[in-house]
Amino acid sequence: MSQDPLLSIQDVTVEYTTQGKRFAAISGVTFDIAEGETLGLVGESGCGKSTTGRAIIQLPRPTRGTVQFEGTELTTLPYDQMRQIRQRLQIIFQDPVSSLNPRRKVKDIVAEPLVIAGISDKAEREGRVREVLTAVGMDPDITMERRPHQFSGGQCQRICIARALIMEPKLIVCDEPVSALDVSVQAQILNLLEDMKERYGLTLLFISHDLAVVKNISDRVAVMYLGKFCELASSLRIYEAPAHPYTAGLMATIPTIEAGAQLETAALSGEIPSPLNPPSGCRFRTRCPIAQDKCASDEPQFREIETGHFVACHFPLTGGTA
Amino acid sequence: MADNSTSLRLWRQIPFFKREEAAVSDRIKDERRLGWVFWAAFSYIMALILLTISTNFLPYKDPAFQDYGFINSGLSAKYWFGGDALGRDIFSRVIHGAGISFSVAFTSPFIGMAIGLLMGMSAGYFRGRVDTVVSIIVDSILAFPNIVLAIAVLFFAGPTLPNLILVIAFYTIPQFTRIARANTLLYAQREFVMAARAQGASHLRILIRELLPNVIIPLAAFSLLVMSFTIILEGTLSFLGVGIPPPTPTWGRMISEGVEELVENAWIAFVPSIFMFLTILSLNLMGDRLRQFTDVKASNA
Amino acid sequence: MNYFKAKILHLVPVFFLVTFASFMMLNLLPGDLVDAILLDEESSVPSAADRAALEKELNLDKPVIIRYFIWLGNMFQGDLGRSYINTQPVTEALALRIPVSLELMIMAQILAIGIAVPLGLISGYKAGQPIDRGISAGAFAVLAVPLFIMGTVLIWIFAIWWPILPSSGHTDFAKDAWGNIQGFILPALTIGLIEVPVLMRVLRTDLISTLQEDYIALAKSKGMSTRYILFNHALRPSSFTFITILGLQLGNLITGSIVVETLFSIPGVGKLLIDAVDARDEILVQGVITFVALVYVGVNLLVDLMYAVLDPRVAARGA
Repeated sequence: MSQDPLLSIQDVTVEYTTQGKRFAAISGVTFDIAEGETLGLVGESGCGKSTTGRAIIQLPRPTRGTVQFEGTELTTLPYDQMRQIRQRLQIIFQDPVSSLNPRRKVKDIVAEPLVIAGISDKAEREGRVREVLTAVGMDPDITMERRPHQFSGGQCQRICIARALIMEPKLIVCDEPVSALDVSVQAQILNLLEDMKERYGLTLLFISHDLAVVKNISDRVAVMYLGKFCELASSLRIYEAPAHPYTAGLMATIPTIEAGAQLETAALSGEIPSPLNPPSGCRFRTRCPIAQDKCASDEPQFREIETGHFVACHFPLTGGTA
Repeated sequence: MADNSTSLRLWRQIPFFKREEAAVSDRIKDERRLGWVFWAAFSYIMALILLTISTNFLPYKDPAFQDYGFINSGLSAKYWFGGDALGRDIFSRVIHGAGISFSVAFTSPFIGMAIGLLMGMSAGYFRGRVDTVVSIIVDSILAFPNIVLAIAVLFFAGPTLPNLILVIAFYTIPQFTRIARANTLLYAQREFVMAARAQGASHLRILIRELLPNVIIPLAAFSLLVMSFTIILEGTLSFLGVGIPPPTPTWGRMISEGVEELVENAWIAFVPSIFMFLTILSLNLMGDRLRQFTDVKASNA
Repeated sequence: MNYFKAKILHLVPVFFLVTFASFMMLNLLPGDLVDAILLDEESSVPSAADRAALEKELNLDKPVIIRYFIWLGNMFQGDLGRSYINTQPVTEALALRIPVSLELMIMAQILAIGIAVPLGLISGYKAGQPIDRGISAGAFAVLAVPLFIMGTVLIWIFAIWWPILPSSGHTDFAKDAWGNIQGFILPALTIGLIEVPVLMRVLRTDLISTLQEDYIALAKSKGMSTRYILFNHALRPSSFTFITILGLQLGNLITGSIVVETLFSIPGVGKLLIDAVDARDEILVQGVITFVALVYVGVNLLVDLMYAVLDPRVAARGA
């Protein structure tokens, strides 16, 4: 990670107002993504992973903090320039069926980014749609004139990927791209993403609640809990030696064949507290098996305990101590 | 937001089969086909439209011509539905009267739909202040009981066809706005809208390209029900003598004239009544069926 | 209490809107109001003095907004102007007609409920069975019958084909109570029948969902009779929506009474309006319209408030 990162996020906070109350869906999130890397982002539902992904594409714009993409600050970018950047910054959603307009033909859906980018030559658009549909493993002759409801979930996700790829972006935010799919199809889509990453030189932010899925595809993995980062490390390191008790708890939920490789931490129990009213100090303390008085009073800093391994815990399970 | 009472008020404006029908499972079957009832209703409406158009080039009897030999005459080869109290041809008058009903039914709802789409989609997409403003406008429209405002406008501004069309269109706005808003809210949450924004599509482009094709379908189905509402309102105004003035024949006026003759010659009132009833029934049947049809499709997609 | 305050505050702009619209209607007249009135009065050539006097009476020499507030002030003192046909004050004419319309509406509502409740109960209880289908189809057909056709058909059946009821006319209740009620049966039935499909359908749907509740199954398992369950358990929660809808039928009731009073020659507010239109009595038309619109706004507010009282959740959500 010697060169400048492709994407750099500093202290990003996104606040929403519900029922007259303001609450932070994510707060103080900081991380980088290097070019060509895949960063996995894991956490239970409602922890703010999707909000983080959407904060990157500025939908909505973060309340505070900075988002730099290719050296450009996005949070203050005027609307028109942001539109230019969007072509290089794409997103794929969890529900492929809901991501495709039921009333439009696949041809038009995939070509839409080109139209928005102002490419008016119809033949050129069609050529590029054919190319990208072929790349994602769909037969353009069969696909183009049909509407989304004529395809399966996996096929729809391929179409979504084609749409995201057509502008040849640098970064794609994959927001739980396989969670809504059958297990048998999940592997196909994951392989496709890997292939496309290679072919188009992509950088991916891969969001999922499923550690097993993230493990195979990511170079580095970040773990979120209640709107904050708990841990960030290389994929290898975080699975081998998780430092945060929450990460360790998540690991315990992965089904494994090897016996005895288990940590002393039990699988997670208890309810996730409401993000409207998070616990004081460390947000995980209410469910943490090793929580102490200090955890309730002081909020742990997100700090580096070994090279490239960050954790927000007073008593990390590996590396240094508080 | 004043949302709750607004939706409640709007709800009242809609015929009775709004949403509960869908919940009652015994009605939903045969969802893929429109059914023969729909096509029968469709045929009737098409036939009537063709007859109405044919008045422009086929030699019907002058609906205002008074044939004194046929005053209150019964059915005959010359006068298919007989003559009325002034000896005018009832058949010709019914067909010409359909023209007035249809010219209202095929214009007012679409004016209302255009405005309703604009307001409802803006409210549902932008929400917040826009939504509040739209709900105030809709509330204001509903502040007048419809028939009273229509009477007032036709009385003070003159009983002309454009005035009639506009005042009826005005009253269809709230219903269309409500449906457009609800559907926009529904679809705006779908991820394809977020995807379009992520691609850099402008709000206008999202509204027109992504949302409109989805929102317009339930509206179009509903517009058939609104057509029957406009035919009833036009008929009521004519019946009260505040609609299009004579000599133009209208169903409402024909019935009101027929009431005078009810004792001896009931058919004078009944012929236009039957035509009117069948027209409204057909539009209701078609609208109801299409609405179920599009509802089912929308939930499958 | 916030909800109630908000609702009542909401009334302020609506009140000004409605009154201003009613006031401005006179200005929609093609041509000059003074000419229109004077020409109606048969004085073939209006003299300049007449014109000046009338303009002064109508405050036409003042700007519109001032005239509006003068008019509004008069309205609060019960002065909506006077008819230019027979110089009767508008409010006096209204006062004579209101009881008649009120009686008609109340009778119509009683008949509507009397018919809709049993039909809705049967239909809901036997949902999906032939009797329910029959009732539903009938309701669908009635929905396609405009008020004035319904009235015409009822007159033909009950006053001509089987002459048991009068087809028109109105007798004073004090003089002939039975005659008065007889005269109201057909008109009230006309309005009532038109409302039946809506009321019936709401009751039916409600009943179906209530009958699926667990406590109904419990009552059944305890061996209670069908009729007991229907009236003591199922009907109660259902009737809440039903009562609300009933309140919300007001717009139809107003339309209904205008049409029916015209058709049956009943001297109510609706007939007053239509007669004023026929006689081109501009001031009277304006006065009646203002009155009806204000009543409509007021009753709507009342319905909203009542709804909140009946169901506290509404107030909580609205606040």
